[in-house]
Amino acid sequence: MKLNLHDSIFGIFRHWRLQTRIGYRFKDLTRLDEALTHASVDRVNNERLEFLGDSVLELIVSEYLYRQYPDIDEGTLTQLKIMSVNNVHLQSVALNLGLDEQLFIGKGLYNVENRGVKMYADVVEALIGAIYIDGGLRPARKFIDKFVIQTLPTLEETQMHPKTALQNWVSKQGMEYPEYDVVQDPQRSGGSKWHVKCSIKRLAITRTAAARSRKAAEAEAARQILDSLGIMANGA
Amino acid sequence: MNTKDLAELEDTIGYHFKDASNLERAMVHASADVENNERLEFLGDAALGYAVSSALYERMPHKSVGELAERKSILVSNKRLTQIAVALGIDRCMRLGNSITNNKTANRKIYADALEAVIGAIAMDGGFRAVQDFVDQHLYPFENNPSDLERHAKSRLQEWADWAGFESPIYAIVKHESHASGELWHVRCTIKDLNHDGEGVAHSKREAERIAAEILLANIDEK
Repeated sequence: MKLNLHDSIFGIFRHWRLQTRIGYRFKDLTRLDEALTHASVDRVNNERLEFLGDSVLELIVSEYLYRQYPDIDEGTLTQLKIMSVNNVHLQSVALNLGLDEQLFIGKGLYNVENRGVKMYADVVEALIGAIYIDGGLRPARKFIDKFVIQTLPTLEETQMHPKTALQNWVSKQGMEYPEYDVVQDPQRSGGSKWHVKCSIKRLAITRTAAARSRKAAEAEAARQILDSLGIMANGA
Repeated sequence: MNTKDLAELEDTIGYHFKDASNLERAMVHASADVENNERLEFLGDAALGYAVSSALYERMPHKSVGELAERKSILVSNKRLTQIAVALGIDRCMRLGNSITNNKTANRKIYADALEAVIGAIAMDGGFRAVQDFVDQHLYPFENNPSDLERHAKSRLQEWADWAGFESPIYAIVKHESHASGELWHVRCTIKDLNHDGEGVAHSKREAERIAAEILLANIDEK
């Protein structure tokens, strides 16, 4: 199957819109299409670009952390790096850019409800690989800085209350605030603990936590979500 | 205790620092000082991964991602990095703490880590282009650096085949002549699935094989 979407008016519009969003104009648009093609579609797919983009991403993030935090030790640098290249974080970058509507995936995958966190993380890496091959390290660095690094909590923010940290993070991704629902209220149903569910709709993530106060249960649920995002947070 | 000085190390690694303080830092193991090479190793690890991945991506346009990943894991394995570190004399430049110095069986991974720290130091001093040059010069077994040229062509070809994921080279005698002036051997060297071969003619079988390997290596280089 050959993808010639850039030949059509629809394709031109689609490319124009995506390039505007990511802030980079491709010299060769077939690279952009390759980055957006899942392995289920074609033998020429985004896997090789993802391999390349993964290493470019690690490089730029490591360099940024090394320069930004001259006084923190290697262990903390590594933790911060893991947080930056975490699949759920990259998935939110993909959704923020609207890549979910741009991805070519095989028919079998269209109807799958959860297309998979990793698939979106991979497409971000492949896009980084495509920008690097098309324009070199400079535009790749610019893209990574804007969409991957600047959307992360700062070291100070990770020391904040988990609910604040989570709220800051989702707003940087352009997503709606997390919702907190009381699943079990000890004043009504007996028992000694509050059970609270925290959810982020766009990412289809929920975590439920129990504690003696409603506030503590909310904080713990938020902390668990931060945890699955790979984000270090203050204990609740 | 270091028996080799840093200027000498710069000559061996083929990169001269504008500011040697990072190179000096790269030689300090965590057992020796709180100001040690761990942060540089963090940076160097990523710079090495990038240099190798980008080189593999460009040089192996037809290989699948599985094959690229496999090649990469061989190239950046601790075993290989330790070999290179020792070949460059990094082990003789390092500052180690007493706990390590007195321990004869100390983990040799510290030299691999120090090599990554050197790569981190090069990245800070000369940028990622300099890292790519360093990796090109030292990491790939088939690069024609001077120390490599002294080694036998057959072993260089074997290493290249291992690295590139091909089967071992095959040497076949094409023709053997006996003349009054002596013997003449014609040997052809081939590698399965590779579209190049090399042929050598010499008075001994051994020399004919060496020439065949040399010619095949030259053909690969031109690819």
